Amino acid sequence: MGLRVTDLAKRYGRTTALDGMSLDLRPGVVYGLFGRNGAGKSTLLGCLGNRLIPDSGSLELDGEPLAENEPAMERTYLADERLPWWPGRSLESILRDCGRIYGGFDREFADTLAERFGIDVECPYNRLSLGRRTASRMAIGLCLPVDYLFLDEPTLGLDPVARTLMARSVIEACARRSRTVVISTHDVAEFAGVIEAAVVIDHGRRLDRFDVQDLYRHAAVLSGPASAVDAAVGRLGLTVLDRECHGMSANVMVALDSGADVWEGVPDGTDDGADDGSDVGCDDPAAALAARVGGGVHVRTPDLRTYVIRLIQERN
Amino acid sequence: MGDLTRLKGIWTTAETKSATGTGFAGRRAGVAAWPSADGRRRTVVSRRGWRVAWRYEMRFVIFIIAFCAVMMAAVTFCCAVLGMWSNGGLKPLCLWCAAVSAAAAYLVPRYAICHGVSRRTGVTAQYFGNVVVSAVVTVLLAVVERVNRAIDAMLASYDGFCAVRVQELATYPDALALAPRYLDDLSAAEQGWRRNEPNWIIFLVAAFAFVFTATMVGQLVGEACSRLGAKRTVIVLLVFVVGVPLLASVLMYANPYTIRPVAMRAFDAVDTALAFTMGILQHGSLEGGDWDCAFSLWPLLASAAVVSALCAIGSMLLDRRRELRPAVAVG
Repeated sequence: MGLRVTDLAKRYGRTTALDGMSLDLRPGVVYGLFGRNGAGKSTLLGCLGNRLIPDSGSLELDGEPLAENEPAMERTYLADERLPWWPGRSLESILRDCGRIYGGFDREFADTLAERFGIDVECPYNRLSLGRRTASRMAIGLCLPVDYLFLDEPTLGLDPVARTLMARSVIEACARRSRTVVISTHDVAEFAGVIEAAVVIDHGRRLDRFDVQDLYRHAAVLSGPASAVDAAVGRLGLTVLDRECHGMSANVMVALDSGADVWEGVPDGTDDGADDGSDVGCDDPAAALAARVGGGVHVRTPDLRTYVIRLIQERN
Repeated sequence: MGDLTRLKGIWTTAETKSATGTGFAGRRAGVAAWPSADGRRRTVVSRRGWRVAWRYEMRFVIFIIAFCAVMMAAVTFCCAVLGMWSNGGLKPLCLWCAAVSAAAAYLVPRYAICHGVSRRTGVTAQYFGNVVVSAVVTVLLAVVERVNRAIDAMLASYDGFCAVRVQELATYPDALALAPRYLDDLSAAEQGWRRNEPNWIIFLVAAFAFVFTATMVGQLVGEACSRLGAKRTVIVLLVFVVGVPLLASVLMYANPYTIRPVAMRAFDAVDTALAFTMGILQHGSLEGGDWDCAFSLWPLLASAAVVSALCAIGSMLLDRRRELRPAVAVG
């Protein structure tokens, strides 16, 4: 069950937007889709929203093909920079239209969102400011009765207050109706408290995919004397994602991939025959890592934004 | 031809499984195999998809009909008052219907695809939209013609090429016969001047064929424009608007013994083919004064069917890979 993307490829002329992208989106989970400009986020969402036709690969929703399959397509909606109505119409008439096109459109929540973002519903859409146009498009998407909602740049042009409100609105929308939401944004920090799982892509390929609560399994920040930190990193064979020096001390972010020696001997709670900590069974990997690095080196979990940025930088 | 062969598989209908989502109840719907690059994609249509596509299509249908009604009423009234004749001029109506059909083909899928409507549903909805438009415009034309006859408006001009041909075709009941009817220009003019009571069935069929062909051509043009993009569309338009007349002028001033006769024959062939599609077959030479016309409905219907079918296939092929691309750098 869920939305499965398998080996998706898409090219625009000589530009490769997606290069063998594979992904599984579970029902009822809020995903963050992160990556640099041109990484392929909008193209991926375009394919999921049936606006783009992939060159190869497949998209399946609950085992059914998604492309050109109307019963499946009507369970998805992509809210991006394009308003699928005549832009001279007011938000009020668009919302009325939504009610007619989509049975179960949450008009009450739509009115709440319009008030929250200060949108004059009688004003023609194309006369709204950039931020309010974005808020309008996202509000429409959040109120539609779809099972899979894709939000492309939901904070484009929004002020800091509205960005916070947008993140809160996503949570409210999910509370009102369970759905899978994929948020493609550069505002990682703003949505850090909203998303449950993250997908990081670059150059049309998936770099990483993890549950946010399991971020501590993907990376750790080692802090302490620079010499001790470097020695620990070298001894354990950790991949350095970032390094900051402050005098004689250093903060080093390392990737905790399964090949690292840090998990050697750590019981992981699974019976795959290898105690490598990779099977999400290790209760306190930070403590396990701290026990191994020793020498006054502290271990903590990085914040999502920093991890995503460093991961992308490291791969580039 | 390869495309035609591939299209044969499009309408292979089957039964699909129910949708299993939580938001929408599963329903049974017709499935059509849809050929694609990977050969695996299928189109599944639903009632909601049709409803959404038709909702957008209807706006253009109403737009065309309203404009045609207003225009015909206004022109007819003004011409009648001024003692002139409009006869429900079909040529501008055809152009108008083609233009709006092109706009609909360009714009409707932009909105419909965003609402989960399959490309096949969108393009098929416009076929039906074209039928509705053509039928209503044809009826309006018949009403205008009837009013013209009632107030005895006079035939003033042969400029309205399509309208005149429709009227000519409809004036002769035996035009339905397979054998074409030959008339010289003078006879045709006299017949037109007398304004015999037309065969209304032929009138309706001929007018419908004209308008429907125009809307189908318009749909193909709209799809082609969306595929080409704005810049390429402008270039193609410039080629047609400037390039073709320029080329024709150059050919006319070319060597009178080698190139010009060939060009003249080519232009004549094009004229003859166009006239044939209108139900007219020219005989003899205009210079010799023995230029005859053959009126028959069949060439018109046949050409309308062929052109419409080609436009339908072309539209479907163009729409099959239609995309709404984000702003990306295209290498």
